[in-house]
Amino acid sequence: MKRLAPLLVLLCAFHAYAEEPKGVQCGLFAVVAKGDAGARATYDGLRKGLELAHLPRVCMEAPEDVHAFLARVSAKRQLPVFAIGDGPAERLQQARCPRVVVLERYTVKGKPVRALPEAPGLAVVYADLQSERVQAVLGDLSSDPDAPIMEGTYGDLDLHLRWGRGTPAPYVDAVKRARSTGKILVSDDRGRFGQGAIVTLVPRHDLLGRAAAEVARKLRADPKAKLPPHAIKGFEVWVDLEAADEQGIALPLAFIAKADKLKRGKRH
Amino acid sequence: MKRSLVMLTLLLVGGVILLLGAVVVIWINAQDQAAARREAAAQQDRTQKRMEQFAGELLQLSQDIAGGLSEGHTRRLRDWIEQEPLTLYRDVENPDRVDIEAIINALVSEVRRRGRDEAERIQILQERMEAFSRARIDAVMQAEREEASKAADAAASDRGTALVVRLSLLLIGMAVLLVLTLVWLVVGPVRRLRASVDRIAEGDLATPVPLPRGGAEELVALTHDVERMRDRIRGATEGLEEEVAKKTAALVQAAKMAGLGTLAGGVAHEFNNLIGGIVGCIESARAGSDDASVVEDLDMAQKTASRAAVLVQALLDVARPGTREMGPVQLDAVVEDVTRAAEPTATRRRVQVEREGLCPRSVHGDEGQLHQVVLNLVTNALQAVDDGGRVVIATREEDGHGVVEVRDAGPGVPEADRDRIFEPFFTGRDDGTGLGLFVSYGIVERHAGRIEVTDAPEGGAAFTVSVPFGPSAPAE
Repeated sequence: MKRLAPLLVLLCAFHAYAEEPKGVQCGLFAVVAKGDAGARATYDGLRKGLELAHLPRVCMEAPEDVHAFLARVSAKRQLPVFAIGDGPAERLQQARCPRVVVLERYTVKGKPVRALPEAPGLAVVYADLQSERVQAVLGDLSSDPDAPIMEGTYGDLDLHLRWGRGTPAPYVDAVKRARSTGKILVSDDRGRFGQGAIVTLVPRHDLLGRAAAEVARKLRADPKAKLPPHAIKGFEVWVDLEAADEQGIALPLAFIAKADKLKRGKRH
Repeated sequence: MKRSLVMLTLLLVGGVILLLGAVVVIWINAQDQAAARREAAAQQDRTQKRMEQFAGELLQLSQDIAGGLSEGHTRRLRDWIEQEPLTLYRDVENPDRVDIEAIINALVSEVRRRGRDEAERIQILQERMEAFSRARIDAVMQAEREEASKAADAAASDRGTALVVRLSLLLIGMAVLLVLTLVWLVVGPVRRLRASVDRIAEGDLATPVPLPRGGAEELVALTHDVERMRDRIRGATEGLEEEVAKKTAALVQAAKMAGLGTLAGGVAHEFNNLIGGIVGCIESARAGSDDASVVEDLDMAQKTASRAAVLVQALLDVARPGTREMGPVQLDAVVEDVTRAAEPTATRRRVQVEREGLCPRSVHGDEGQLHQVVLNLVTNALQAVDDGGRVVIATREEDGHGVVEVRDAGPGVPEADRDRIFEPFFTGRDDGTGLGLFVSYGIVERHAGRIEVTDAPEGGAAFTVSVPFGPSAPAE
């Protein structure tokens, strides 16, 4: 199984960025951030949501010429256009046609650490990662639960989060540092779950995608509608017990009981 | 008896010490057992507390897990219900309407999916719980083993300490007993013996050395040896003093006699010349006289002069003994000759002369002079005894000397006269010259012998002459 793992990863990657199968009638299009497992999961949720709403099928598009792409879909009334992730959202920032951007934002007291985009015809759906909720969850693991969450640390925990605008350090380096110091590494990259981080905070991407589909349904019903940003609160806590066992860290069973997903360890 | 008493006392003291030791050991053992019971009870209490604590931890953990599971499950379903865009679920026939059945199916699907996840989570938690329980049980058991080991080590240490204490007490008791025994048996008697030896060294030979009361056999023997040594020193001292006194008296006597001899010799020499002249004159006067009365007076004068000449010659013999013929002399033979010579006198006076002993060995001396000595002594004895009396002449060997002893049953020599009896002209008789013993003394001295007077068993005087045997040359 271990030998097949790299092959499966390659197949998944190929599947994520491959063109839609031939013969599929694409009624909507989504620009999805490359190499972002969360964006991909959001796209899956979006497709499922559109299906539930009996809306046209959505297809991924990676346009080289954004203007030509927008002109084409506008002419065919294949709207709204979806942008999943900050990169695609920036590319579609200046467009005029209806579009839905799906983002992830950490918020402190309800205010996003990184600002949400605002533009005419732009509907925003974002995963609201409340810092208070993050602190409540990680407080079970921290030696100083009352300490504030900083850019990379919370108490004696190492945080590898897309907190603000800054790009976090390379994931591999963060894993090495955490293993050398014996600290618990906390990540928010669902694509790297099982690769060293003991705790992964995962936004509800499927729900996020379906929420984007609902926004799309509303926009298709009323293209002039001005919709406020829609937040999907909450996140899942995934725990890699194998990584914890390798580091010799015994996580509290009560914390494990609250986890949404567990990767079984080797200690048993 | 004393020794038996000592042994009995020692046995009693040893028995008391052993009895006390046994009581102490029993008491300490009882204390040990009580401490062991207390420790076992404390160990049980600790174990129970640990188990109760462990049970409490398990209960708390179970509650936490149950709470976590419940909280997570509730939160996830609530999130789905609250945030799932239910308006998405559209009816196929009429897209303007929400498809309730689809929503229910989605909810059921969500619950089912969550249930599967929950089952997986519960299984993992169960495994973790078992591992945690095993680890905690192992920790508790390890703590129990470590405490039991520590308790065993402490008990062993306590037992070792108690053993050391008991042995120390026993050794101290034995040491005290040994010291007391040594003091009693050795030190005290040795100190008393040393005091006795000090007294002896200071010259106190009269105080006897006290025997130790009890004590070691060797010490008693040593005390006896010291006492014997004291007796011997005292005897030797007393004999020595007596001997010194005798020698001193003899030396004084010899010096006095030598002085008297020299004086007498000088006087005799002058008188001899004078007497020679007197005798010559008397003879000339007698030859020229016809008067009978004168001749008679001259004869009387000549006799007197002759008698004076004899006396003077005797003195000269003492002072200048003349030529001696030294050689082996049989004292028995000398005595035999003297007895034969004295026999007429003895017979006339009915004095019984008895002969005792023998001296077969010859002495070294001048037979004639020794004959004169013995004759003087026998003559004195015959004169001292009354008619019908008894005189004994004995010879014997004694300490390298030939001895002649002449005893009589006469009045003896008074103690006060014994120092002067050998002086010239000292005599107890009216007709005596006082030169016989003086001459005899001189002869014996020249033979390196000894002459002395004591009391005779017969009641009179006993004169003893000792002359050395063998090669020792007589004094010139």
